[in-house]
Amino acid sequence: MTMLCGVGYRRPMHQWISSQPAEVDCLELTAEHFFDGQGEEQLEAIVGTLPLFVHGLGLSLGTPGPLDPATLKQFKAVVDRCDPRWVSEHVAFTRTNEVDLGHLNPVSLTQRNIQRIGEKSRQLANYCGKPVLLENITSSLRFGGNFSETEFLNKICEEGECRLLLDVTNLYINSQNHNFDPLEWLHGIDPRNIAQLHIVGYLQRGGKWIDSHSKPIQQELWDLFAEVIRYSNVEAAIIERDARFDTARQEMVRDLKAMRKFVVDG
Amino acid sequence: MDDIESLALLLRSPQARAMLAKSSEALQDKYGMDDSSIEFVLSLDQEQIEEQAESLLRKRLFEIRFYAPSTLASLGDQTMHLFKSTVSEYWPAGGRRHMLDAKQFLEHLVDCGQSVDYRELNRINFQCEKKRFGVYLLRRGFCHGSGLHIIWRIKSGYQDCWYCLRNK
Repeated sequence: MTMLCGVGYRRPMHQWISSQPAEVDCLELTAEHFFDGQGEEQLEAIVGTLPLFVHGLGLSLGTPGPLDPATLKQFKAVVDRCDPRWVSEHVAFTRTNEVDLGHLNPVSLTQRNIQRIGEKSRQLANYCGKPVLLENITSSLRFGGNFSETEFLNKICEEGECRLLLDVTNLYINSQNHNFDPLEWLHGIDPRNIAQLHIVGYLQRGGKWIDSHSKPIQQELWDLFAEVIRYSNVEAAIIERDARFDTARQEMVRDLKAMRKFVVDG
Repeated sequence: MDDIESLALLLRSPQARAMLAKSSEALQDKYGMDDSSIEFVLSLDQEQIEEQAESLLRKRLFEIRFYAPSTLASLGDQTMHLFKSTVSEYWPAGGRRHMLDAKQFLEHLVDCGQSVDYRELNRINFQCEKKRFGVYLLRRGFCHGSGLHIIWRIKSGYQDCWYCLRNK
């Protein structure tokens, strides 16, 4: 199957995306952007035009306790509206009973978290009636524990009957900030687990690599991307741009064309 | 306390992080943490926890920029420092948390006498109050004298316009 090449849908780029540019094979929608009936006009223009994926930010699969019913209901409403090929979330937590941190944080590499996230992945798949992918995140924190990160992710896929959304940029950023070999990390993942990719340019500041989602894709990311698609049978790749929309369109078209060359050249 | 809950406590509370750096016993007593929770937090690199906490604040500020781009642009390099002073224990929840964050921050800036684009604060308040129509006074900054800011709801969000009533 030829890998689909697409972008994350963002409202500032609606006009371009809804014109159905030739470079875009698929779209990923962020579920929370369409909660409470928001964005119905935009959905009307794009649902049914291209293969869609729905990506969540706030289900917080790593949180102790059940999935939040209100968030789950909203998420499903978006899924039902969009009929995506699959849905995705993160190997992370964003909140507990005490606090909503609002953004993704890592979970420790324990059997308890494998079971917790695996169970919620199955629950999400059953509730939405769609396959689930789980994404790796950037983190300043590294955990010790019984498992390596790649063992942990493979076991979650087994426990959760799910696959991975491998964020190539997040992998690269973590490898630079924590000084490990991203290719060695990649080869620790069962290639059958990788279904989709995210990629976008990183920012470097103060000696740290940052997931700013604001830049065109740098060469070292393309090199890692090439190795990922050689290693596994990836079905789709999404450019996940969240900022600097004034220059985004030209940069994303260039990046999509570059991505497509990898697919054609094999 | 689960590992996740222990980590969340440290990420949300600079006071908890400071307490951990001085005395894990004090942290354990204050928050009722069991031995395994303390063992977990002590296994973490404290510098990495600070970096993760800082990155959460940076991401919150990133989201606020969509609500108050002009105000934040005017603050320049002092933006993060000013933001940190408002949020030590304030973590809004739910789908409107970024808007609530922006509201809290801009109101704090007003209290501190910092420059605020009042149109941005009015738009945030309008959306928070879920009004259909609102009229706000513009007193400082944008209009040299005073002005009127009118906001009304439309299908895809809201629209607004403003009039300077008097120029000095």
